Amino acid sequence: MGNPLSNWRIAWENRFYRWLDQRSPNTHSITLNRKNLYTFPNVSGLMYLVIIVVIWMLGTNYQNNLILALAYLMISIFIVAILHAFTNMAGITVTFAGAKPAFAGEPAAFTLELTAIHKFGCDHLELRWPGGDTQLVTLNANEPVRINLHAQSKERGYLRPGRLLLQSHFPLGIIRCWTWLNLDAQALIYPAPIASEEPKHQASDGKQEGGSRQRGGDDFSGLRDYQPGDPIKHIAWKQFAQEKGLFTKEYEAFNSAEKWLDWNSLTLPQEARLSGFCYWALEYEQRQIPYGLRLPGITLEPALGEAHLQAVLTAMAQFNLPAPVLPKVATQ
Amino acid sequence: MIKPFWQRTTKVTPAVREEYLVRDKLAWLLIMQTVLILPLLFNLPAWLGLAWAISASWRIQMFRGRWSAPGKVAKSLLTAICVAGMFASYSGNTSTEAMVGLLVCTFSLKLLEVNSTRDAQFLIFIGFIITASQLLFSQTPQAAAFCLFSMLLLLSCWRSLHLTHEQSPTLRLKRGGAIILHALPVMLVLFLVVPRLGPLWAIPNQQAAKTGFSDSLSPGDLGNLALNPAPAFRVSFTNQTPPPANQLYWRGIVLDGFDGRAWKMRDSWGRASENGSSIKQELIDYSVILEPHGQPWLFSLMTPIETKSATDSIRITADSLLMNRIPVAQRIRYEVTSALKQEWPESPQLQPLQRDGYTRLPLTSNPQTRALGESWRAQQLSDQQIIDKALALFNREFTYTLQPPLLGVHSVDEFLFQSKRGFCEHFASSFSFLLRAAGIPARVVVGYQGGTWNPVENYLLVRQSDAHAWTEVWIEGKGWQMIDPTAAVAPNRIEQGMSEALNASDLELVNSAWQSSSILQQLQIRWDAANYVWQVWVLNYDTKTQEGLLTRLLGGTESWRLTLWLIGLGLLGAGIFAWMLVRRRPSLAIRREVKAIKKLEQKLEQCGYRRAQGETLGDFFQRILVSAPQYRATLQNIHQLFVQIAYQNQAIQIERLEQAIKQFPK
Repeated sequence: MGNPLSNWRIAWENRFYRWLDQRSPNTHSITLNRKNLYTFPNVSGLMYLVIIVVIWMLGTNYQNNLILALAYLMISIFIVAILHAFTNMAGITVTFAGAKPAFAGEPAAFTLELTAIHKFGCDHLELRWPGGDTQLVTLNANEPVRINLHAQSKERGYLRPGRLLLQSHFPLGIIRCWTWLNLDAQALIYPAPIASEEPKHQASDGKQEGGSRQRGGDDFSGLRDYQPGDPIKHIAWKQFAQEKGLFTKEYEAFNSAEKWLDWNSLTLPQEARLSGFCYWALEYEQRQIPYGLRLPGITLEPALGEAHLQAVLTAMAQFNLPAPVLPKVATQ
Repeated sequence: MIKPFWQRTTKVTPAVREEYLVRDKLAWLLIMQTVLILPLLFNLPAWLGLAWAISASWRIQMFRGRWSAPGKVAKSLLTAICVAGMFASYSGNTSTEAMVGLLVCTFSLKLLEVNSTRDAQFLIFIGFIITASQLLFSQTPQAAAFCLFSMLLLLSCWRSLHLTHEQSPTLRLKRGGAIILHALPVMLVLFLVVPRLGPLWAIPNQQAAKTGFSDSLSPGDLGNLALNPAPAFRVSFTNQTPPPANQLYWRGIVLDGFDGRAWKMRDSWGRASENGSSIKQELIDYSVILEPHGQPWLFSLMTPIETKSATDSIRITADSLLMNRIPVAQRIRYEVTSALKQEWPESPQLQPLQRDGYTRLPLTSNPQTRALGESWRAQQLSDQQIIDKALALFNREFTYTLQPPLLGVHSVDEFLFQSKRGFCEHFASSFSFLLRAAGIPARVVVGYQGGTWNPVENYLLVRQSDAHAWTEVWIEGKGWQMIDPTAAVAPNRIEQGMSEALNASDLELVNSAWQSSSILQQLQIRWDAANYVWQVWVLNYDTKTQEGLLTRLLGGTESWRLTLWLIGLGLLGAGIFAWMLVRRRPSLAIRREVKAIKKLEQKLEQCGYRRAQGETLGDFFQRILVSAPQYRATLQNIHQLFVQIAYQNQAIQIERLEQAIKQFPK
C-alpha cells in the first residue's frame, strides 16, 4: 500500500517525468538550449548570497557607499553567473553513438559524442546515468569528443539506462546548470558468466582452428590512444611517465576440440542455465576449443573467434526475453 | 593467476567535484591573497604580513611534500598566537581594525587547511569580505580602482578553481574581467536606485590617523604643514561664488591658555554673556566635505548659525565652533549657514572670571613683552590704540618666512625683540601675548585661511598648507573681533595665498613639495575636480542625492512611478536577453547555411544553372542532375547536409556543408 505521502511523491514524480518527456522527446541526438537547460543556485550559491548580505550590512553600518557598491557588484555577478552557467552548456549537442555489450551485473559502456558550438567550448561538464558514476569532460568549440559513460546493468537483455544527467557548475561554482536527456540509448547485456558444471557435450568432429585473436585476454598486444572511460588499470603509466602521452594497453588471447552448449545438457532454471552457458562459452573461447550453441529455436554451429563469441552471447542475451524490446540501435 | 578478462571489472573514473588543488590553482590563490592583504597592512599591525608569509610558505612546502600539514595542536597554537597578537596590538579593544585584523588572520591560516576546490571556495568567500574591508580604510578613487583590481583577481582565481580547460593566465584574467564587465550595468542601476538605510547598530570606533594641526600651538607647528599640499577639505557655496579671500577664515579651534611656550585649549571660560542676541548679517550657505583628520573639530566661516549633516552629530559650541561627537575618521559632508557679520543691539559683556581667563599669562615668561604691554597700558592708551600700535610694530619691523630661527625659552621675547622673522603662528601667538599683557582679552584661533578655487567643478579646495593661526580680541561693545597680525606683515598671504608672500629661498622650499609648472598645475586642478566629483557622486551619494537624481531622471519619486519604471526596465532587460537568446545559435547557423547555399548558387550560375523563383533546393538539384549527372554524389551530399542543418537542428554540420560547397564542383 505505502503511506499516502509516498504515493503523492510517486504521483508527483511521474507527473514531473511526463512533463519532462514532453519537453525533451526521446531521440538520438539532442542539442542543449533554453528549452531543456535548467539553472539554480547550489549550496555555495546560497553561501555567496549570505556573504553579500554581510558586506551589505558592513556598508550600511559604516555608511560606506563603496562597500555598498561592492555588495551590488556581487549581486550583479550572481546574475551574470547564471547567464554564464547557461552559456557554458547551451549549444552542446549530445549524440548516442552506440553501446558496448556487457555481462549482467557489470557496468555497460555507452559511447556518447559531445560537440560544443559555443566559441569558448564547455568547461567542467559532468555526465552521469542514474545511479552511475560521474565523468568529467571538457569540450573545445567544434571539436567532437567521444566518451564512454558507464551504467550499471542488472539482468541480461537490453539495458536502457534512463535519463542522462548533464550538469556543470562552471564558471563560479555557485550556479548549477543541468539537464536530463531522454536519449534513445540501450545496450545489449549478456547473461552473467557463472561457473557451473560443464555441459555434457555430444561427440563432434574435431576441427582444428588457427590462431584467431580475441581482444580482452591476458596477453599484452599493444597500445592505443587513451579514450575517456578506459579502465584506469589498463593505462600505460610507464609511457605516461615518460611524457609520451596517455595510452591504453590492449590485451589479447590465443585459442586451440569442439563443444556444444546444448539447452538440454544442463538441468538448471532458465537464467542460471544461460549464465552457465555464458561461462563455458567464454571458457572455451579462452582455451581455443570450438563451441556451438543449441537453444530452443536457435542453433549456432561450433566455431571460434570474436564474431562467433558475440553471436553466441547475443543469442543468449536475446533468448526468450520477458517483454520484447525492439533493438532500434545497432550495437557496436 | 591472471583473471579472465570478464572478471576484471572496469573501474569508472570517480566523481570529480572534490578535486585536489593542483599547482596553478594554488598559485592563483596565493597571488590573490597577497594582493588582497597588501593594502590592509598599511592600516594593520605589520606582523600580520609575517603571519601570512608563514602560512603561505608552509602551504607551499606542503604542496612540495616537504612539510606535513599542521596537526590539531599546531593549528590551535597558530590560532592562539594570532588572537593573542591581535589582543596585544589593540590592547583588547574591539575596534574595526582589530576585527579586520582577525579576519586577515583567518584568511591566512585557512590557507593551511585548503586541500580541495571546495575549501578554496570558502577562501574566496572570505576574500570578498577582505576586499570590502580595504574600503573601510580608504575611499579614494585609487582605493576603489585597487578594489576593482582585487575583484578581478578574486574572480579570475574563483573561475580558475572550476576551470578544466588549459588557459593562459592572461586569458583567465580576461574571462574574469568579462564577468565583472557584464556585471557593471546592473550594479550601477542598483547603486543608483536601491534605497539607503541608516546604520543598523552602533559600530566600534575607527581610529583614524591624525592629520593637520593638533590641539596646541607652539612655534613651528604650522610651518611644517605649509609644505603639505594634501587636501584638508573642499567647500561648495550655494551661490556658486566664494566670499573674498580676506573673509575666508575657516575657524577650527580656539586656544585660550598660554603656558609660556605653547597655546592650548583650556576649559572654556563660558559663553560671553550676550545681552540679547546679535543681529546676524551677510548670511552665507555652503557645504563642506572634510577629509578625515582624526580630530573632533570641524571648520566653518566666522559665526556658524545652523549646521546639518547626515548623522546629526555636529553641535555649535559657545565659542561659535563646530564640533563633531566623535573624531572624524571618515570623510564627512556637512552644510553650514554662517553669518559673516553680527551687530549687537546691546553691548555684550565678559564676566569678570572670563576677562581674567582671557588675559591670564604665566608670571615668569617673556618679561620683555610683558613690560612692553604693561607700558602701553600705563600710557592710558585705549584698546583700539594699543591694537593699532601692535599691528604697526609688526608691519614695520617683521618678516614673513617659512624658515624662522629656532626660539628659546622666552619664545615671544626672542621673536619680538631679536629674530623678528616668523610664520603665522609666531605672529598670532606674540600678538595675543602682547594684548593680554596690556590687559585686553585675546585668544588664538587655529584653522585654515583662503583656498584654491577650482573652476572646473566650482568649489574651493583648502589644503593643509593653508593652515593658519590668527587672533580674536574682545572689543567692548563689539564682542570678539578677528584680527590677523599676519595680514599686517604680509598682506599677500591673505589676499593671494602663501606662495605670493614668500621670498625666493622659501619659495624654493615650497616648490620642492608642490608641482609648480602650469601644465602640472592644470592637471592637478583637473585631478582634484575628479576627486571632488567622486566624493559628491559616489562617496556622498545618499538618500537626498538619490531623490534628486530620480526626480531629474524619472520626473518624481512616487512609488507608483518607481514601480512603473522598474517594471519597464525589467521588461526591457528581459526583452534584450530574449532577443539575444533567439538570435544566438540556430539563426546564426541558418544565416551561415543560407550564405553557403547562395555561394553555391553563384557557382552553379557560372555553369549555366539558375535557381528559379520559389524553386526548392531539391527540385533545383534534380533539374541539374538531368543534364549533369556527374555532380550526383556531391549535390546529394550538400542537399542532405542542408536538410540536416535547416530542418533537423543539427547546426554542427555547418562546417561540413561549407567545406563541400567550397570544393564544388570537384
